[in-house]
Amino acid sequence: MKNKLRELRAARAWSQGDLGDKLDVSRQTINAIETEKYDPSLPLAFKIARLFKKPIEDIFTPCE
Amino acid sequence: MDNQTYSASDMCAPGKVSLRQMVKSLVWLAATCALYMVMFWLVKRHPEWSPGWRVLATLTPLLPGVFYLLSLLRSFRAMDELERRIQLEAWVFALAGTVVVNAVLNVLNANGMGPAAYPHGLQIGGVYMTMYLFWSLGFAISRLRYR
Repeated sequence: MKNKLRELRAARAWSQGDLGDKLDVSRQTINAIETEKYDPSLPLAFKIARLFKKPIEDIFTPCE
Repeated sequence: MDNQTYSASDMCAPGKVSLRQMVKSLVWLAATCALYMVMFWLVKRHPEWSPGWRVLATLTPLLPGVFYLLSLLRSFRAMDELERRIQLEAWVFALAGTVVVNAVLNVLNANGMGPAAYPHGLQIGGVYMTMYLFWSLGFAISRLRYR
């Protein structure tokens, strides 16, 4: 799955650690999601969407 | 820190599992092993003890063992979802690796080609050691994969 997490985070000048703290996950998890090595669970995806005030499909798009 | 490289301390960082929790688990494990050795020694040195006492002494290490397992479960619950994935992959690797090693030993033994040290496949100590080795390897591989 592709995602815009890095851009969204950079736009707010948050570090991976900052975002991890806000989402209650480790920095490694944020990095793995941003590099698209790991797809977050649905609850975490909702949490991310809520944090950035965007619909999930604006942040995550399936790979064709 | 914004880049994608990790320092050695990051690789060892327990993430959302606190260091205190990990130390607690290790203390219970150490207590279990120590009590096991003490009881093993005592039971061997006192053959005059009644069977009831011998069984009780032999099973005493189970008590800190239960606390060790509870502590491990608590650590697992405290992990975030990626850490749980990494642990799951490491445990699957450990289990599958141990089954394969044991199967290979059994096949070799059945055909009279097994190593002299393992005439009956892996014994319980061998199973623990093999599982630990495969878990360590699986953990390292999985951790690198999601790095």
